[in-house]
This record gives sequence, C-alpha cells and structure tokens, in this order.
Amino acid sequence: MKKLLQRLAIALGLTFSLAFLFILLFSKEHAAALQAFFVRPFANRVTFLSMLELAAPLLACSLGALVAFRSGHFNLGGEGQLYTGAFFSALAGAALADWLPALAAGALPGSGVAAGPAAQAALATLSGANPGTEALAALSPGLQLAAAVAFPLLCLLAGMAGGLLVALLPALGRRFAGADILLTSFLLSQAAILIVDNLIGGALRDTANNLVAMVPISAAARLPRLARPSVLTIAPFIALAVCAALWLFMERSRSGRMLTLYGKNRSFARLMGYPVRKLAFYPILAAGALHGLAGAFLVQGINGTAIRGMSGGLGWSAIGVALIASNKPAALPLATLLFAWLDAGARQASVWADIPADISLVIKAVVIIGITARPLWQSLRGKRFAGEQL
Amino acid sequence: MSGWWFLLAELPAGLAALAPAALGGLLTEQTGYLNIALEGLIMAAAFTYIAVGSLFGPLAGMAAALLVSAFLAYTTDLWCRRSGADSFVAGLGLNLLIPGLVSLLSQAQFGTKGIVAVQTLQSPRLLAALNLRYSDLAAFAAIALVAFLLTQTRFGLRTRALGMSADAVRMAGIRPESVRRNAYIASGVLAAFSGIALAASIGAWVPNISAGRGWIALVAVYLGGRRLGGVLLASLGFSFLLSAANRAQSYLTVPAEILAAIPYILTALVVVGGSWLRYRKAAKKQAQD
Repeated sequence: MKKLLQRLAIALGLTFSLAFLFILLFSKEHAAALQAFFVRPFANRVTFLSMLELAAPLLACSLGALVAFRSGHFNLGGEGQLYTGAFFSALAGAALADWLPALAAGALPGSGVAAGPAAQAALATLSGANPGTEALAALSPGLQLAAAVAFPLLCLLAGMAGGLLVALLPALGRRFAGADILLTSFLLSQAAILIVDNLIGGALRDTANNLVAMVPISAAARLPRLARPSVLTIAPFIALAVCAALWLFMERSRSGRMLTLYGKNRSFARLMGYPVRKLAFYPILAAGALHGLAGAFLVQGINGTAIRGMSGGLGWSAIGVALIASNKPAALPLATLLFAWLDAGARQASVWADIPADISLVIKAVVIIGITARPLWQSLRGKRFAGEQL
Repeated sequence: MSGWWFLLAELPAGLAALAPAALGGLLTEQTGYLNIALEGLIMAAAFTYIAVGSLFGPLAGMAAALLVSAFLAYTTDLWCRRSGADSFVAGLGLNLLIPGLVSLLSQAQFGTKGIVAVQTLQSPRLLAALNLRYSDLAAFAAIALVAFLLTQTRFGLRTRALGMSADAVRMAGIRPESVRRNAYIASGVLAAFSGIALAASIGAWVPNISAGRGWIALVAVYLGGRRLGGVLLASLGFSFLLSAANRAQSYLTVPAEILAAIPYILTALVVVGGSWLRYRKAAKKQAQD
C-alpha cells in the first residue's frame, strides 16, 4: 500500500512538473497551452467522455501487462499483440458485414436465425452502415438482444484470439524450452506488426478510402455508443468489469496467490508444489489475449476498422501504467486515467496551442524511468543513517 | 553469382551497424546488468550525428554522437544505482524517451518529423565496388579496441569478474559501482558507433532508423553465449540474415514487410531452439546426478 502511494505520488509529481516545464520551454502562448493541457480535457462533457473511451484500450493493455508482471514474465510484445488483435477483430467485423446480408437473403442454408421476411430485412439493415431503427424493431425482442450481444462479442473474442496468437510462440518457448519471453515476445510482436502492416496496406486495404485502413466493420459488430456526440461506448465498462474480475482472481483466489508467489520466486513455487508449468504458460497467453482485447476495443469502439499503425505506443504505455499501479488491479483504473489524461491533454494542447503532441510520449517515458525509484526522501534518510552508523 | 557478391558486399556495412552495439550489450551483460536501452542509444547517436554534423561537419557530429550516447548511458546507470530504480525498466523508459525527444528536436532544428537528408554527411566509400565506408571502418576499429580491452586488460578482467561474483570484486578492493559505470559508458560509446555507421551510410536521419537493431544486438549477446567470439559470430549471422532479407526484395515478389518480418521470426525460433538445447542438457545432467 505504501509503495503504491509512493509510486502514484512520483507519477503525478513527474507528470505535472514535466508538463508545466515543457509548456514553459516550448510554448510561446503559455496561458493558452496550460489551459488546453490541464483544463480542456475536463472542460466539457464530450471531451471528458471521449477521454474515458480512449482510456478503455489502455486499461485493457495494462491488465495484460499486469498479469505478465505479476507472474514474473517481462512481456515486451504488447504492441504487436494489440495490433494483431485489432486486425483480427476488424477481420471478423468485415466478415460479418459480408455474411449478414447473405444470411438475411436466405442464401445460406440453415440460416435459422433469419426466420420471417421482416427479420431478414432487419438483418440486412443491421449489416449496413446505419441500422434503421424501424427495421430493428421488426425483430423479435429476444432475437434483437441476441444479435446485439453476439456480434460484438464475437469480434471481441476474435481480437483476443489475435493477441493470443502472437503470444503463443513465446508462451510455448517458455513452457517447453525455458526461453525467457523478454526477447521472444518482442521479436514475435515486431514480426506481427510488419505482417499486419502489409495486410492492412495491401491485400485487405479498403481502396475506396484515402486512409490506409481496412473496410469498415459491420455496424452490428460495433460496441453500442452511450452518449453521442462523444465517442463513448461500453468499452470502458467492459474494461472495468475485466479489471474487477482480475482483482478477484489476483487478490481473492488461490490461483491468483499461486501466480503472484510464482512471479516473486519461482524456486519457492516449485518447492511448494505449485503447477509451475501451467504458470509458465497461461499467464503469458492471458497477457496476449488482454492486449488483443484492447485492439478490439479500438476497432469496435472509436475507429470502426483497423487502421495502419493504430497501436500507437499503447503497449508501451501499458507497462508504465502497470508499474504506477505497482501491479495492483485495484489501482489500475486510476493509473490508466493519469496516462489517458496525459494523452488527451497533449492532444488538446497541440490543437489549441503550439505544443507538439509528442510531449505526452516524452513525459510517459520519464515517468517510466522514474517510477521504480526509491523516493528521494527515503534515499536521503538512508544515507544519513548510514553516515551515523559510521 | 552477382547476387551473392552483392550480398557479401553489403555484409561489412550491416556488421558495422550491429556488432558494436552487440559488444556494448555484452560488456554490460558481463557485469550482470544488461543495458537494454541499446535501441534508443543507437537512435540518439544517429540523430546527433546528423543534427550536429549538419552544423559543424561530420567529425564534430561523430564526436557529439559518441558523447551524447555515452552521457545518456552513464546518467541512466547513475540514476539506477543512486535511486535503486530497476535498470530494466529504466532502460525501457530510455528506449521510449529517445524517439519522442528526437521527434521534438527534429522539429525544432529541421522543421520536420520526417527524413532529414544532409548529403555532406554521407561517409565516402573506400572502394567504389565495395560498400565499405570510413564510418564502417571506425566501427570496426572500435570493435577491435573493445575486444582487446575485454580480453587483455584489467578493465576487461574486472568487468567479467563483476558478473561472476560481486562480492569477490568488492573483497579485491574494487568498487563494483565504478566497474558497472565504466561498462555502461563503454556500451553507450559502442552503440553510438552503430548509430553513426547507420546514419553515415545514407547521410540522412530517418525516423526509426535503428529498426530494431538494438534488440537484435541483445539477441546476439544471448545467442553468442555471452562470450566475445560468440557475440561477434552471432552479429555476423544476423547481418547476413538482415541483408539477405533486404536483398531478396529485388528478386522475389513477396512484399517487403513480409520479408522484413522473416528475420524476426527466425531469430525468435533460434532463441527458443537454443534455449531448448540448454534446457535438455540441464535435464540430462540432473538425471545423471
């Protein structure tokens, strides 16, 4: 608990002082920049809720980073896992967009879902860019609910599968060959980024669009939006629910305790007769899947498709977030909000003043460098005591 | 036939961009505190070479690049030793910090976040036929010097001793902190030679110019069995792999990104394979005992 408070203090202190310093150094319009950075993200409902939406993928990634850290694995493949997850989710969503009209037309045999003509019309509109509400209303309520839950869920699962796939080889290497995942996870993720880059920019690119991106996913697969005009969807709530579940698992279950002890001391865990082989395997996969979930959030929430280079350093930021929360699931949402605010503030400052958005990256990096330090007052005290002993 | 010749001709340049950094990684690994910020250091040196070189000429750029990289490595290590921060996490932070800082500085000096080409900073070739430049020679000289230092001098002995037993080093009256500091400074200097070789071979700063070389260098340290000869051999193998992937672009219809991904996948497989062999050996030994 004490460590957590110390780390939060370090992170907050560094973030605020660095942001202040950068604005004083780089900006010619201090007042506007300061206001944009510190106030604007909270100033109105739309920007605030949009910031919350952007925090959802970061929270999911941080959950993945936390699982890896807790089990003593240094997962550096977050970027590629997230990116592949996003790609898989977009692939599933695009497939739905192709299949649903066919399903509605009864072209597919055994399409028991689409019963009456009204339901078929409804499915056809569901798959379109803009679902008409009157057609939706024609579906029986049960079917409507089933479709609204099943399609987004399917794509989220596809995203998780994508992240898991990238984490699979490192996990297998760790489980069967004892290969540390520090290097393998990074290498595989790098390869995954290159391959997905190629697929999004080449074979699967939506040529109707100037953006280097895939075709938009089916509207039925997108997460429901809660408060237009802000981009808020249910993604932050899903992420929070997963966070709560992880808290239960880590702090209140026997397996979570085993995992934590294994992460702290592998020999001890082996001597205690814990299932060390499982513990060298499943946490790595879980980390990959959670990163993949974050990618799915990006696709099904804000973007509506997979865009080239969309991971944007989230996988690295997540390591910082997990460290700030000192690997405590309960503190993770708070730490996530800090980094999400940092991103939102930098974006606002780059729009409303002359501050480049890159400063959020720089500040995050400095926070990561500083976060594991003993606080200054402790090291000073330690020195004084050492001096007195002499 | 000519394809093979081109491949061999590319090899020195590839080696010059990788081997110094790998040696830097080896030095820090031998003290027991691996410097994982090589990627960032290469990038920092490459940018400094272009940024300072464009103002004061290539030699000044080179000197500045060496100084900046050494200073970054030194301060990070100092910070970790003084504050008790985790050196892995701090190194990771440095790897993130440098692309961000470079982007800011590039915008301040050149007004762009993108490619900055300064023709005068391209190091001339030794021979027209061979892709070997003076900057590559500097890198090889650095490699030779460090190989000598590591094997023949007190500095090398102390570096290797620290990784084996910090207590023994302390008992011998040597401060482990200063040995670690020296290794980190040397790793910064060596990574800088890699960065300079990269930037001087094209005479330009390109965002993400290091393209994962710092990480591959770490893999070379690991695959080389943490020994000088092994690390150099592994670097040679990786340079060959990278230039082959580069070269294959002009012969195959496979997209460039897929070809670029292959070295990463192969490397990961080699790491897992090597680890598996070691794992099995250990298991056999245990069974015999």
